Amino acid sequence: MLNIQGITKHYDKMENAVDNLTLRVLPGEIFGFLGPNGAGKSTTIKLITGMHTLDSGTITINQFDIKLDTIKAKQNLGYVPDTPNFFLHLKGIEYLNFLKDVYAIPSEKCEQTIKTLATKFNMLHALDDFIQNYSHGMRKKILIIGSLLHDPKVWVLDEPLNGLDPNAVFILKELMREHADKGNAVLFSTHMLETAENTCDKIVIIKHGVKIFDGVMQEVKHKMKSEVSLEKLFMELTKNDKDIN
Amino acid sequence: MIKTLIRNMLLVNFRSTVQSRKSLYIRIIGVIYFFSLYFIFIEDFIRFLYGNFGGDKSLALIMNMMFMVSSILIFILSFMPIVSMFFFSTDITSYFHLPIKNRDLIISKLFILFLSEFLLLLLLYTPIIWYIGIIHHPPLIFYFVVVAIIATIPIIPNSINMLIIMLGMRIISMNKRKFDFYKKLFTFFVAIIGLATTFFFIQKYQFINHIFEKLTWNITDTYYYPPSILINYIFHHLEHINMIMIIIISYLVVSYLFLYISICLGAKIYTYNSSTQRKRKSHPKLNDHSIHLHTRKEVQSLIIQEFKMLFRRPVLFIKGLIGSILLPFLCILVFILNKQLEGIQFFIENHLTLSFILLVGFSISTIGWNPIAISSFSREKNNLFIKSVLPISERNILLSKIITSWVIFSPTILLYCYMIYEFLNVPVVALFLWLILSVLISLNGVLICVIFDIVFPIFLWTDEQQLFKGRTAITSFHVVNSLFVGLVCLVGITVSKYLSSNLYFISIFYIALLLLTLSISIKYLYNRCNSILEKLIKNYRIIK
Repeated sequence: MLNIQGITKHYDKMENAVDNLTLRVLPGEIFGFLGPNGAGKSTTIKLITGMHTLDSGTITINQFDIKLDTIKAKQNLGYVPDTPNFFLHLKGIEYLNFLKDVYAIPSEKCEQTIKTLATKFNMLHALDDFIQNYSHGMRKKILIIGSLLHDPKVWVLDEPLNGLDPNAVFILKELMREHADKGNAVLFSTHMLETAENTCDKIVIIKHGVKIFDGVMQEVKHKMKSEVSLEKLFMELTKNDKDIN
Repeated sequence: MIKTLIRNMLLVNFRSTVQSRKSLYIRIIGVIYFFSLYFIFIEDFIRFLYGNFGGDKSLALIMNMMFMVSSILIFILSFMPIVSMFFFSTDITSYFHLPIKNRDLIISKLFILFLSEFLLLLLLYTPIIWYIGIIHHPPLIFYFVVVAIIATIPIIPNSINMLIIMLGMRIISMNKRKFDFYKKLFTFFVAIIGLATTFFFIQKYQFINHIFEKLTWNITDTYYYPPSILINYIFHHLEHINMIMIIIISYLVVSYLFLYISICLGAKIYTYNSSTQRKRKSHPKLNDHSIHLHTRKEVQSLIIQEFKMLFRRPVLFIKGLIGSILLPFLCILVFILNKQLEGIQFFIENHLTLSFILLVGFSISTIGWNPIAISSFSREKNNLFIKSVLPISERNILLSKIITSWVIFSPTILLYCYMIYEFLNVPVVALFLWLILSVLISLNGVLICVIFDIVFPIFLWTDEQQLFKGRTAITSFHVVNSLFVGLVCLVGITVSKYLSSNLYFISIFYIALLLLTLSISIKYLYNRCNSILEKLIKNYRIIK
């Protein structure tokens, strides 16, 4: 569903932010994307979404290349950014209406989706207000609702749990599972290892733009029972070279 | 403590003003450019006054006018910045949890304000002092005294404002929302008073000489204004030197004493309440069944979204509106009130081609640049990130921006057409040609502004207010635009002189020139639209 093949990206004259990274997210999978700050998670996500252009490698979303078939690839993608300060001068409902027009979603279907998701996130009452009057968590919720309007084949979330209340976190995790169970792919980055442990089918850990761990969660859990927790595994893998020395 | 505060505030102000070395250079070039124009203007102005009123009277008139105008302007224009500075600026909250005395904070904030106003006044006064120096050769001490007076001008108006505001804020509980509303109301009234004054002068006095005669009568007689005293110092310094110095020193002492008292009083009455920051209203209730969605095409939806962004950011929109609609209205009113209209019509009849060229130059300087288009990408800031992820082609994003900015300027073109038709008595063919040219010029202006916004995204507008204040991008664009206007007029005049002075020829020449620029601009934009969003996203980092 989401195929990342040997992608590389560097900024100006700095070292590679992402270095020859290969990932594959299959239909029905929730993929956890872990790594310390500055590891290249957000850059990878921006490459997937087409915000940044690739230096080398390919990314296909539902078999559409993000570089060659940009519009079709984006039609199959839903994205929740880490910072929710967007379209602050639009009302919640206007923002969703804008997305409806862009993705050409039929009105009835869209209305139904908005009602369902807004009720779940307790946002129905706020849809007619300006996004600038929303709290951080509410802004994030409207972005989550917007990203699901067109029922994307690949749902990418950049640190989606930050700023959400426990109820919303629970609902989001449920939504991710439901979305994956419908045969779609979900990829999300997080620093919350416990959530990754409970929600993901697969995890990948990157450091300095390079993949340092890639595994199916069942296997990791099996390994963890006998040896270490995910937290310890993460700490061990992402330890500074200086510390090791 | 005061030193630390000032250093910190200066650093923050400097870094927010100058985002990069490139932007610093362009601001410096802009300042030098406009300062040179002002310098030339002042020279002409002084010569004009000398020709009419003679030496000491002219100097007294200029200096007193500058003193009065700068004091009044500082009093009016610093009111809202002081409210914002002490009660609503973003940095104020970061000082209030620190162990800083009110007095220290007030002194530091005022120092920054005085410094910026002093630098501005220095720029305005320098050409005058320069010409006084050339003409009258005053003693060296004169320059020191003049700088001291300039530095003292902002003190009393700002201190009065500060005390009024601090007392007012203790009595009225004003939140950010109310403040924004009053700010708009205040701006509206200042604009109305400004316009009324302009019309009063236009209606009352037909010739500029009359205005100056009247002003000379009133202003040169105000003997105890510090500038008048200074002028006396230049002309009679040998006779009354001690008396003059005493008066000037008294003025300085009174001002600084007033400042000291204001700071002491201000420190006692200044209270900051963070709850006065923007309050969130309860959300308007949306009925379960009231979700009404509209179906539109992608470009249509993008244009509507652009319009919503514009109308809901009133500062930006007002800027665009003033630039586009108010100016032709002002021109029409000037023509209605002006009794020299026949003279202008006579000139146009006899110099049709030259008038046409000048009209084209005027059009470029008014509708040939577009504040809405120049900020079309910058004002999006974070929204660009979402748009780049959506399945929208860059061409459609560009198209929506171009159409939105262009449509806003169409009433202006019609208003100018009405003005030319009604007052200037030009042939219908010339009017028609001017209409075609205006449409092309405004489209060309939109495209150039969009390109400018794309090519120089380094000129960040971190806040839409800054657009209103005239930041690097606007300054540099004005420089480019004024040079462009000059060049277009020069080319037109050269063509009319050496090739043909026929109106049709000149018009076709201009149309061809504009079509060429348009095609180059469109080609440039469409060729680069694939990389536009990425480039902009790189520069406009997400604002958290």
